[in-house]
Amino acid sequence: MPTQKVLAPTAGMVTLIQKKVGDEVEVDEPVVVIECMKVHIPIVSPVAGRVASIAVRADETIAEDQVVFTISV
Amino acid sequence: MGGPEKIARQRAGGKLTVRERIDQLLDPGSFHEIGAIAGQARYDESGRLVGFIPANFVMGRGRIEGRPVVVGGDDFTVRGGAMDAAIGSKQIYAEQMANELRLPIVRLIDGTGGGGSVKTLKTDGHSYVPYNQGWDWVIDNLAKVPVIGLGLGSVAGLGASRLVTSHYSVMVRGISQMFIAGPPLVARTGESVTKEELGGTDICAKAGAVDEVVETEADAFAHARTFLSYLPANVFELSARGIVTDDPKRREEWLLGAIPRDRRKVYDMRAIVRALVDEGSFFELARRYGSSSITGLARLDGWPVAVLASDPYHYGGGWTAASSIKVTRFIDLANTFHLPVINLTDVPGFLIGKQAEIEGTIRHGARALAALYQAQVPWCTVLVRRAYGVAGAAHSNHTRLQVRYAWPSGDWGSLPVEGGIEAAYRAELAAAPDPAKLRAEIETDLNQYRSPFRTAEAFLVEEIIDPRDTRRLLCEFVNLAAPLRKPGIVTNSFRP
Repeated sequence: MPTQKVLAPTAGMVTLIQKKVGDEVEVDEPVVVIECMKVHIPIVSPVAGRVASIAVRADETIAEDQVVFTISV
Repeated sequence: MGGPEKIARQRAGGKLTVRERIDQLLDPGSFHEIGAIAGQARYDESGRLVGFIPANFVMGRGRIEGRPVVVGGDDFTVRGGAMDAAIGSKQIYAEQMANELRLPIVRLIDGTGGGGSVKTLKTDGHSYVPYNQGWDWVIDNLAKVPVIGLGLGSVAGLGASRLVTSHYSVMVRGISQMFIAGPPLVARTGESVTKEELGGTDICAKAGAVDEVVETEADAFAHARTFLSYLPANVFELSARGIVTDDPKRREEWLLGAIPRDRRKVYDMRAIVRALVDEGSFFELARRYGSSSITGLARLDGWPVAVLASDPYHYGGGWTAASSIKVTRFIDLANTFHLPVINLTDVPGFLIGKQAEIEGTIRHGARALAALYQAQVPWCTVLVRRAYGVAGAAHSNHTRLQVRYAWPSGDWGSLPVEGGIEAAYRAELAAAPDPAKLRAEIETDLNQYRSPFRTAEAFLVEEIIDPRDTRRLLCEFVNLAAPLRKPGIVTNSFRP
């Protein structure tokens, strides 16, 4: 099953992980939320599928373009 | 062109020929070619023509939406579009023609560097000190006429420089790559990469080396035509008003709730931009670079305008080094072609942190600030939400009459309350038996002074408006601004 990597659009701190591995997601459904410059930025799934992996932890500081999660489609 | 075999190879690579490109770009039947028979002719002893290699650059005049333009395209089917087969003067002629006839120029770039092949060492019998021929015109054109570069193949060296030395540059995914030198030369430095890995469209767009990536050559031509539709033919003229297609008093009800009450929530700024400008007129530039700032061209009541806005989805709208460079370049574009600027601000400040310092964000931000203060074009700001710090202050030049509107969601200051309490109340918090409780009390107390209406009462912001009235006010602004636009060449002094 092909998987798609989802990268952080922006650097920030992970504040919320809304899905777990195996959960089904719709297009544009948030999976992880990061905080940057005092706003909460949802990182959404660009495709419908299933969360294959989550590569970040809560409170972790992540860099722009870092892999945040993968979706199997 | 370079004969059936080379043309077949060009097509097999998914690429149009230079003549097909010119035909697709221009209005049908409008191309007037100049220097059609220029090339390297060979004659026998009796003076009969026995061979001919055409110049690998096809150029002339034509029309786009009825307006005259200059177009020049590399012919890759003739020795790879490298300069050693070109009659170099044709490229220079095209640039000079654009300059002196004051016409936009579109470059169709599908070639390599200016030096061509090392084989020229043998054919010329000498080397030469490099110089960029025609560059005087290339640079002067940036100050006088719209310049568009379309990257339609692998472009390197001088070709890459011609692509980016433009007001608007486009690459086509899959067929277009851009680099200073290609994989064979890079391999000698020990780096083994494919053309796509080295200079594919994703890399170039994200680096801000080009403005746009499209899927097909037809898309590239359509983008070039659209870009030109907002601009005057040259800086000595002003953009014409387009046909009025949208009601200047149109009110979008949803704008009232467009900004979430929770300041930490993001929202879709592009939807707001599209709702405010004439329907279907927003044409975004450089979306993938410096993404915390949105830049684009649009129309308001038919008048072309430059739209600057913040995107809270990227760094909360904070100015990064990249977005500062993008904003600087965009203000220069608006200023060069006398386009009034609409600025929809939600800027929490410059991005902070070590990475921001490593990237020299403050220097690039200060340059953007200089561009703003040097700009002469009419300027209207809508404070949509945040305006904090130096970058927030860069929403307008405060020394000019501020045509400025704030939405009720407005939130501003030198430092946000949330981040400033620790610094301002350090001693009190250290001495408190319950610092967290005291911190919360201080925050509640300070937040009551944060209301934008208190600022308006002190006339430190001119007007707080119903967001649904924004389009009407922006349309009023552009009609007031139209007669204030000043044609001519714009020059700027030193920037930090």
